[in-house]
Amino acid sequence: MTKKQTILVVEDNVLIVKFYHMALGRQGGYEVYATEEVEEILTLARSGAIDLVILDISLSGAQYRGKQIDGVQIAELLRKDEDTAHIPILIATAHAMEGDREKIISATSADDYLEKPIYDSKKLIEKIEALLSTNKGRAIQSG
Amino acid sequence: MENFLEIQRYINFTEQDVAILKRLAPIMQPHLPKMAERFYSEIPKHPEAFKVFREPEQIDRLRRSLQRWGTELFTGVYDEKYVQQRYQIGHIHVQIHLPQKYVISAMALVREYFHQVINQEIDDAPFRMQANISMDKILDIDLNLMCEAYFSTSMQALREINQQLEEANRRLHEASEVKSEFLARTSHELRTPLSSILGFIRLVVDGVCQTREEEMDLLNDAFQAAEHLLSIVNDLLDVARIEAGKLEMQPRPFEVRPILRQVFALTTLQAEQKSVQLKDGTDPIKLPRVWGDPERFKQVLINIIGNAVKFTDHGQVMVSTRLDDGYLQFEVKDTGIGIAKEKQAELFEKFKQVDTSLTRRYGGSGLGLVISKHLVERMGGKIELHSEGLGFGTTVTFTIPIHPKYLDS
Repeated sequence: MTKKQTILVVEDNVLIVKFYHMALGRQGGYEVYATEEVEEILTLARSGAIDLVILDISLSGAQYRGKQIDGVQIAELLRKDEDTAHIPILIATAHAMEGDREKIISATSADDYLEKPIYDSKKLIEKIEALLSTNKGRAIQSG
Repeated sequence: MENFLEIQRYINFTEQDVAILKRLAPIMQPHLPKMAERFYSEIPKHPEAFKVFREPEQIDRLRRSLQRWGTELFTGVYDEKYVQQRYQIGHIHVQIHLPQKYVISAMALVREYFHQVINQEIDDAPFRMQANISMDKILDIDLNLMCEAYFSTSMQALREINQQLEEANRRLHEASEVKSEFLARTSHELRTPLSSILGFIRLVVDGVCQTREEEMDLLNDAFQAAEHLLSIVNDLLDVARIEAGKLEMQPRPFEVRPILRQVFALTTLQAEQKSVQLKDGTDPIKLPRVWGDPERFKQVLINIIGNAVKFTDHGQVMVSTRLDDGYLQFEVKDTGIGIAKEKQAELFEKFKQVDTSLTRRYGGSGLGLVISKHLVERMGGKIELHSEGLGFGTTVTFTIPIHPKYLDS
């Protein structure tokens, strides 16, 4: 059996974190780890243990070097570091006004974007599968 | 300035014209009183001009200034200073609200009269012709400069109106932006609990749970998220009613104590869950009957005490009362996170919210204080918030009028 793939969830709402655990952990069969601690996010991502990041934009508890930061800035940190730049990022946010999607995707160079409410776990898993397989392809090509 | 010289060029005013006007001066001088008469004879035909020159002293002053004007017309040094002075006369006309069309028609009469005098008094035909021409030129300069004064005043007024419009437009634009931001934030705040509600129900329906307890747990979470959503919707409806001036109040005399008990019962539970002490420091005996809408009063209490508990992680929330000159004052003092001085005013502003990350961490629509302020003021009271800054706790005080009958007794 191949090793379970690990999804890092960066989300500040405890109920939504719980949903990801049930939907992705139990239904999808992934390893799900959730945190808002920026240093921890970066360490985990650099260690190679993370296959995909689900990233919320508005975060209440994400601190980096004494400053509160948001999902856009976390994405920038991940993209900037060559050890983590390849990890697919799926934005999952309740920002859903005209122009938000384009603005956020261009600011984060995220791989995909989902608007809350997110509740259809099958579609969510399909989306994650698609991102994981393109990334594998990319990794093989470059390797 | 360049404008004035431009006018001189335009009517081709030359040294020869100056010489002819000088020669003409002694001939015209005796006729100036009559000229002035012609000028103000037009006044009764213009009701607006009549308003300006109603009193005999005013007509007298006009007569004198017209004679001076006439003298300068023939003996002037026609330089920039002259031009500026004539322009000033136009400005005075504007200032005293003399209508422009009156000035134009009166000037036409003056012109006609001067031609009449020239034709009568001068026998030398070439000089007579030259005199008529130079006369016309200098009167044209005068009339042009007067009209220029009217024009520039209108322009100035237009510029001012334009500035006001721009300012109004800017303010509208700002208000519209504040509302758009509010809409975006509201959409965000509604989608978040909706995500949990739909997600948990879907998980249960999909049969993901292994035990009945697990199902109940998820449904309970969905229920909590739905209650949170409902409170946001209720707050939004209240704000919409306040905006439309349609929030109804049913004021009557009522007892505070039973409402306090209900609110304490509700908020104590909330406080116990996070080990915050909620203390009742209200006067056990002397709580007078007050005047207001009891339901709305309860809403304010829930909001203020609820906020205090919500934003306090350690320590206590103390509720106390005191009588204050015809009012009953409530004080809710907490040892919670407090709020930065510069952000305190925004708390009570519609559609502005201090920091949405707080709402997300602590729940709620962020509209509670806006609504409370409106409700307290509608009932005739005042609400104030004090905090020494982040980390120093918050104190909210608000008042409600004591029922007049209670004051009398």
